[in-house]
Amino acid sequence: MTRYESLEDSLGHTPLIGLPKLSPKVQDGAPPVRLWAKLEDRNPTGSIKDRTALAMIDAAEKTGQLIPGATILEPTSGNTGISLAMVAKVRGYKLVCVMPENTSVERTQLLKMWGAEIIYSQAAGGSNEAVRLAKEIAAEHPDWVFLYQYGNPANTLAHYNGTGPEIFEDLPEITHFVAGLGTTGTLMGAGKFLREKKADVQIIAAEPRYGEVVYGLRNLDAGFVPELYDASVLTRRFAVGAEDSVRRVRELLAVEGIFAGISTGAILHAALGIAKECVAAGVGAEIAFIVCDGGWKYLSTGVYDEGGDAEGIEGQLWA
Amino acid sequence: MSQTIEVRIPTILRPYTKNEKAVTAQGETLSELISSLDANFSGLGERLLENGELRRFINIYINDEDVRFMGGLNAPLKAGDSVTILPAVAGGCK
Amino acid sequence: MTLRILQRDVDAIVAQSRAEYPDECCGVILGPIGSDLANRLKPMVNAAHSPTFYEFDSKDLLALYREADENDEELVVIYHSHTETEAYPSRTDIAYASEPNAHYVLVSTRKELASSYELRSYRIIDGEVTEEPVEILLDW
Repeated sequence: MTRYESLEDSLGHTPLIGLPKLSPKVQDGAPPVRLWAKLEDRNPTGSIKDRTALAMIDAAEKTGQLIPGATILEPTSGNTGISLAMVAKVRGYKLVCVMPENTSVERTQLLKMWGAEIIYSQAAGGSNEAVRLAKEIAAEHPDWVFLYQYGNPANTLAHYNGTGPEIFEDLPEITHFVAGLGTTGTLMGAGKFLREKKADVQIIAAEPRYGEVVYGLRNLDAGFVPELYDASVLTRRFAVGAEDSVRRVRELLAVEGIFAGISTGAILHAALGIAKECVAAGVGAEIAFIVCDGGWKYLSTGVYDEGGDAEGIEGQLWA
Repeated sequence: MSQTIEVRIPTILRPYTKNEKAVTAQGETLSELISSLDANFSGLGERLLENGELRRFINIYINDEDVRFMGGLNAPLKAGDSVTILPAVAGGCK
Repeated sequence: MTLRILQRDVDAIVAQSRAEYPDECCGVILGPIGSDLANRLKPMVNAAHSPTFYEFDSKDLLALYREADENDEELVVIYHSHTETEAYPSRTDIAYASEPNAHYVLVSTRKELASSYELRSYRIIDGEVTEEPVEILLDW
């Protein structure tokens, strides 16, 4: 069924596609080790955050917290803001986003296109600073609705009810699920669902290496732990450096033709690391990972220029 | 008085424990345990925590499990648990 | 201090570095506590699977120290490879180094060296790096 009543209704049911070339070769007779990409860029505004945004707004409408004409406030490195801006526009709310000042120019353009207002936080503090400033603004404007994706259970539920079941339906033989650590909503929601269905499934978080930053992802040891986070869901945290993220995002484009955003590079790096370990151990694996968004919003960073130096673009990239 | 827990100390931190390889401390959670360690071995807490969070380069285990998967500083402790502190082994070419 | 290391271990480390290229490889050589005898080579998995970073997995790390403890051994050598740069400790290597008694061994198998390699050894204590001579032996 590919007919929907509206754009919102087309949320989710994203394709899970194999990576025949990037999946590692195994020895003759050994069980296969396969990678599967869940293309979350196929959502209404082009990222996995559409799930979060729609679920949080639906929940706030149900409780009566969100009434017509209300103003929504959210700290976001971009994608959640873009998703919220679309839904807010269509449903008649105002949106104020708090975003690090050094996020890519495309994000600002997209947010403004859907009518959002932007308050910039200092680049130095990254998204932690955006969260801090947003909490401060929320306290000053008690009439604004602070959905707060880092602590809103609707975020986790969106993945428990959507992302998780979709993956399990397409890949019941799943052994590993790899996603990025941001709000932790994807990992907590889809992770819990998959664990309930399959007790031995491995739930792996890709996070930036301590002291480094990768767009949209966070290292839990860097001082801010989202309220949604439950350590018992994860079986492993895989620290990924900025250079490896860039290398992998280019590889995904060159080898499999998939044009993905930066955080996907970090997630793919973790997935390939797990795959390599499975091959070495001679065990089969069906590894599903999340492609969070497409590469469009990062074109201006120069990340896809094959000759481009990963270090040279770091300043503008790792918001 | 809360339960007593054995804590294994890595070489690099033994100057704080008069070169003892294993010491004891009290606590219902990892956070309390570290406070107890710091009270007995001044300066040790600072080598384990930074801005109130566990230092990235230090691994702490309760029995066989990395505390990062058990709730970090809130990880619960029970009588008979053994805590191991180990420095991470890592590096790179940059 | 001089690092005394067996030729067979050097060969094994260089082979491991080439096999895991482009990723950095890593491992340890264990020996009886206080002996400074690099006796038992134990290659480790680079959990970062990266050409620019190496890291022991936290579970592997615990198992390694437990094993050493049971055998009354310690980490005499901690080694890793640099696959594109020279065998000198990087800022990251220095920041992480936390075994005051270990020899930190770096092997470089960068392209310019062709089939040859560079192996150097250091003490790294409180951010202070001291290079030390290396003596490669056929047997103890």
